[in-house]
Amino acid sequence: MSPIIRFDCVSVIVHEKTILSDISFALFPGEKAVLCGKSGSGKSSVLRTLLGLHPIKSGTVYFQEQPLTPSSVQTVRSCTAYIGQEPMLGAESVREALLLPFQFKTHRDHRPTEAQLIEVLQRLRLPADILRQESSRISGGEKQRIALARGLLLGKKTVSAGRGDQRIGRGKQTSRVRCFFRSAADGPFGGSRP
Amino acid sequence: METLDIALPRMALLYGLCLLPWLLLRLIGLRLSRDIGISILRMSIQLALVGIYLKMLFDLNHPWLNGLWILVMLLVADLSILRRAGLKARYFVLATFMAIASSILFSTAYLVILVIQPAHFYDARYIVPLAGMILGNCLQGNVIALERFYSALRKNENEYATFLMLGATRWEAVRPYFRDAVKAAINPTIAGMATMGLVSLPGMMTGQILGGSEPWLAVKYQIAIMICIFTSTTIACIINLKLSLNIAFNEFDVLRDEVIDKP
Repeated sequence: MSPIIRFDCVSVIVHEKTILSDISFALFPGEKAVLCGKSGSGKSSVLRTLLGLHPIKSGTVYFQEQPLTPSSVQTVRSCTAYIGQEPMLGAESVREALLLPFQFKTHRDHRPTEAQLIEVLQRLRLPADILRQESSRISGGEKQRIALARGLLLGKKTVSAGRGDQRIGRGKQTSRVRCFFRSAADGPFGGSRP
Repeated sequence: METLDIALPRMALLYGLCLLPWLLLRLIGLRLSRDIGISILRMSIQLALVGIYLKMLFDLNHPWLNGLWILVMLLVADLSILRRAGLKARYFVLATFMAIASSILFSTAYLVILVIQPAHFYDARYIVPLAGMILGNCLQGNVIALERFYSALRKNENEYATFLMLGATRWEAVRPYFRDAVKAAINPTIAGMATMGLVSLPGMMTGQILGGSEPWLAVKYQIAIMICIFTSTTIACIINLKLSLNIAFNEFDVLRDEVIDKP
């Protein structure tokens, strides 16, 4: 079985500062991995590099054995749910935030129904009336679950989660994490401080 | 009706008026003497040179010379926009030039050739002041558009990245900031049109009335210039931002750090 994600001697320099130096690892489908390290050690940078948000100075990042290039980055992004430490919902209300990706051309034809929205929320132990709430008024944890719900609605295969949703990394399988991992065909991937 | 000349001694009297704000600024502890002095001196020298040049331009009234003057104005505006918007000129100079040149030439040509219809379309008396006025306002709009757009992108870096992660193309991901930037750029012109004549008498109209024109004629020219300013600012901002999108991002749709001119 070939790895879904592979870093091969990857170094990244941002603002003339080396943030990743000679990183190599491989992750296989179905595997769950946790990146541990001090604050500022580059956990989030690994996730962001995988998603093409940092230019690679040397080495190669592979996703499904394809090197990360401008043409392949769309595949990585479309397969990966990135849930930051404080996820950006990017819309006024929770409903708009959940439906946001379906405004984009690539997902326009797969807009979920009201029933599908409620079902996903229930799976993540979120009440249906959260849909009416303003995104700025919900807690950080709820924001992360909404971001997870968005990943579920989009059928993402891989999840890259920053610190905050520590339960992903610590193995304390809450319903939301179990739910997401059950849905994801391949390996999820989290970053967490020790 | 002749406009009364201001003789040199009375010009000196005019400069004397600046002593009052200078004194007031000193009283409140603002030491701006050097800045004020330089600004007044620069204004006087620049306008004197423009006066000499315009006199020559109007006397010769040669199409190429008139065109060259407009080209110089466009180049100066181009560099001024980028400097004030905090972007590096070496990356955007061509894109901004194309945006302002196309919009200014289009709206000035529309106004002069189709609406005013002078004997010669290149008549310096019409194209030079009209293009200059449109360009001056267009410059402000483009500074606001570029500055707002790139500041918003840098400020909302995570939100922009989220849009990309959710499957947005570069254009889809920047569209909210693009709309806000264009709105901010054209809002002053829209507000200016809505209050024109109520809050202040517009500069061009005042100039024409002082020059001896009938108020009705001055009003028609003022309406013409405002419509052209609105049109050219909107066109220039949209083209400028659109062209800049091809320059400011890397192939992974991430904003290139090196294009921003950091203070």
